[in-house]
Amino acid sequence: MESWKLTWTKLTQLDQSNVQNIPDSTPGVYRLSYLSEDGNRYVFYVGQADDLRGRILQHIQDSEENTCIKTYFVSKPCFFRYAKATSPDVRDAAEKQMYKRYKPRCNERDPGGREDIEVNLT
Amino acid sequence: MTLTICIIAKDGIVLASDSRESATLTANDTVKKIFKLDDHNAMGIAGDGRLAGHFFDVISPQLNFRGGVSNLAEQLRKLGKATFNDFFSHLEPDKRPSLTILLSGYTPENTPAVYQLSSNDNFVPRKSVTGFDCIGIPIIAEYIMNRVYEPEVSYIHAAEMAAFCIKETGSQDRRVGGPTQIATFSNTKAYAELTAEEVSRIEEKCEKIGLAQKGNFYPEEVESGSTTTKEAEKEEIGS
Repeated sequence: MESWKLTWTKLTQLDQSNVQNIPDSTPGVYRLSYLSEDGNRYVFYVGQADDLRGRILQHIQDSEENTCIKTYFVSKPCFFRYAKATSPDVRDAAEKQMYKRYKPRCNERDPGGREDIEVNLT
Repeated sequence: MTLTICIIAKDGIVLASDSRESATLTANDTVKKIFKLDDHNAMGIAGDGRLAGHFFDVISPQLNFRGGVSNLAEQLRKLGKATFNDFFSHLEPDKRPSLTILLSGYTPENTPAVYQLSSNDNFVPRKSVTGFDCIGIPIIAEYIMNRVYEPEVSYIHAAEMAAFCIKETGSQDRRVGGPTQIATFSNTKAYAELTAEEVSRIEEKCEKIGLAQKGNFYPEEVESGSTTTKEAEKEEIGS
């Protein structure tokens, strides 16, 4: 079992200007959460990208095809956090681990990914 | 081992099972466990799969369907007891292999019913009073069905419930597994088994349903995290 330490960013409001602050061409994994009425933030989507800024920006455009994500974004305060990871295997494993932990409603399928790589999720 | 489930929906009956036959060291995932008796009656089995197959071949030609499912249950009781006594006259009852049957169908008044019959019990029919029944390794399925079942469920969603129960049980008990088999029928719709593709679509939905609430127990930690980004670091074992 390989163990990798990810440095997760602070939970940040999901809006255009905060996403634009992600350094250009940063590869890594991310997750989106919403503020619930109970005051907690629950994860509704997990993903990975070669360019986190570009990918997360796509989610908050009108052209986003995932209607589940769109619904959360327009109806609730949303947040994101990410971790930089260049290795595709580490990204796949982190995405898989997040999927298993959070069972995010807006992920259409189990992302797959190696289960012999362990990462921290916080 | 097995999990076979029968659910009475508002518009039909669903009969479903896994495909696994497991022994101490081996498992086979190709075992058929649900059988059409006629267009509006069916049975599922749990126990010795090979015995069940022959048992079914022997008794099904002798069944008379004119009296509806309750009459069928009585026929199965008599035929089952006689057949088992014939097969295993050389064994004491407590030494005989075990076979449990879920019989489902319609009465002459077009009321759906499910019966459980067991070789351990002289095949005495026991009629379901909940609208569903589970045999084999039923505990997890019974818990789920007690939580989610209502008689108003459509047969399409009852098929999803059945598949969900089988997958959840299989996730905990490796004696249940392999492809899920699902059949549906009603008093007007003939018995039909879902194709592998149809089952696969249902199972994809079940995957999403499975522990859909899990994330509610893991809210984001607001205070954690860094204000700067940093590349992932591989940790040395023991550090």
